[in-house]
Amino acid sequence: MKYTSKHIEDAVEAFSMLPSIGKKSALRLVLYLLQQEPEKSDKLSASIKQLHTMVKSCKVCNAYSDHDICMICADQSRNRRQVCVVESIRDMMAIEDTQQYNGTYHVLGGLISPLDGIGPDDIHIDQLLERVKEDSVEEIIMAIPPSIEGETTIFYINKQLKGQSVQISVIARGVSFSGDLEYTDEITLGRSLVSRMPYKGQTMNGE
Amino acid sequence: MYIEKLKLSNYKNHQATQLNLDERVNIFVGNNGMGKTNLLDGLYMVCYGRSYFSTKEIHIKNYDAGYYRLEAKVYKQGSHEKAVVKHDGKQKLIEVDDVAIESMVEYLGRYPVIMISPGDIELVYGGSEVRRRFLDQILSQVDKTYLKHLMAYNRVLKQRNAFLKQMGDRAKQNAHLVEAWNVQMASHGAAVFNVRHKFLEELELLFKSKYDLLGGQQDDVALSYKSQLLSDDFHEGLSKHWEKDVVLRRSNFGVHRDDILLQKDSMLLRKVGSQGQIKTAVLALKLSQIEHIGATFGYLPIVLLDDIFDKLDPLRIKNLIKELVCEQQGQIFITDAFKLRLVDLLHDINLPSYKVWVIQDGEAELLEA
Ligand SMILES: [Zn+2]
Repeated sequence: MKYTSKHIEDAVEAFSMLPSIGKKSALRLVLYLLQQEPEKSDKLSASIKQLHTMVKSCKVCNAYSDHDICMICADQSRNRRQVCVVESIRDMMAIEDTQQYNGTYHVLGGLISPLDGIGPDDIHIDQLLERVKEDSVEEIIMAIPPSIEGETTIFYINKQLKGQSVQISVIARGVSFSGDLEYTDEITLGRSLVSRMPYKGQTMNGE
Repeated sequence: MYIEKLKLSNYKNHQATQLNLDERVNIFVGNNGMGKTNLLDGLYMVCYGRSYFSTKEIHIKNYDAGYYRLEAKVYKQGSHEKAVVKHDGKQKLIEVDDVAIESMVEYLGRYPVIMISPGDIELVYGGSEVRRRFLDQILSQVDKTYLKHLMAYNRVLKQRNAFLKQMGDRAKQNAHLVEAWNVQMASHGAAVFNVRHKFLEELELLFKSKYDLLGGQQDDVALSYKSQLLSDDFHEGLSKHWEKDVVLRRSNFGVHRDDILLQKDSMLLRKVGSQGQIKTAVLALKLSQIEHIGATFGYLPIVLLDDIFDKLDPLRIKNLIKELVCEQQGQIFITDAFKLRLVDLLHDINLPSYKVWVIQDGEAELLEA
């Protein structure tokens, strides 16, 4: 593509770094911004700039937060005795969207997978174990994808919690929960949250 | 079930090939390198979703087009379906009647297919992985639950092996993690074992009858299942092999070590068998596959015969073709360098209908009967 402005070219280059944005879409976005009031672009660049300086991880659950403790963990009306364990923040947001859950979360930030160089110490398992003790957690709900890696992670956490009086449950599998919570619709996800089952050492049987 | 029409675009050396096929027998003649085997592979690919000969997509695309497209019109149980397997330059896509197929699991077995090619001799001479692939090819097509367990098992095995490789002696300090994989290996592995075990019992008899039928009645050949699971269950086996696993840094117990034992006079066929006996055994295995699929689905798989004439004696060829064409009513595709050899043979066995195509430089021309 030939550009009449080096600045436009730079902006297109920058936008197309984003996932699923190609050169064509990037150009469309850049031209759109040029045709709008300058304030719009200022707002956009300011908010992007703040992302890395202002957003941190919640000290309790690892969700993104503006403060040391995130809004959910700080909310006194949420049940701290109930912790829903998720792989990623996106999964946490999907569950939050169901409006069926009033406990707290714990974001692992990955699943155990030696093939990807991820062992138990590389994700936030120790932190979860501490929380269980300190907050006298009564129930842990595993909302983790039913993959080999998910299964391994659940099994491992369950073993680490042995001897403690915490109930471990898994959200109903076999629902349209194919790998990614984000793509499960809210109603299905909400329902599987309600109909969660106690964990019995293994959840998936390949059916 | 049969393929009515096949269209290949930019598939290996076929730039634009279109065939209206015979529902019983199609013959592709032409010199080597002209594209007749590529045509068979195209048929395999559109039925199985994967090439029989090329494991890498890069060897399939051609003409710098950056894409390929295979389309088959298939008649199956009273209806017509359009199957498309294509590569758009970025990824491979499979569609049936213009609806995208999400996973291979969903597609495998939809249009069962069996390839018989000279390379099959590896079933006797090759390592155990060749014979496991033989088992998996057939069982995955007839049993989706099997396929899911197999894929899960292989994934657990990969993770466990990666762990053993990375940790060495330290693997022992992480018993909970090892147990997590052991439990999953046991549940998926036991499911794989049970299906294989049951199938092998059937295969033992099938194999013998097919071997006899091809003209080997006087030979004492036998087939049996070899698996560590026959003597130990996963729980025992995994703990027995644990020390060895740590030392060798890989998993030494499980269905990934399974094999099919082929014997003659109670000795290894590959050591004591003649060339003729070995080739007959290979064909008998293939015919068993065809029969098992036919019995499971109620219709026969598409059978692709690649260049078998140079490798077999005339009597066995005649028995093979007779079995496939006269005894069974499926659709078959045969390649050969010489037209006459095949046509004479088909004439000999009174074949009602067939089509002959001459393949040259990636183009196919129908010969008038
Ligand atoms: Zn938090």
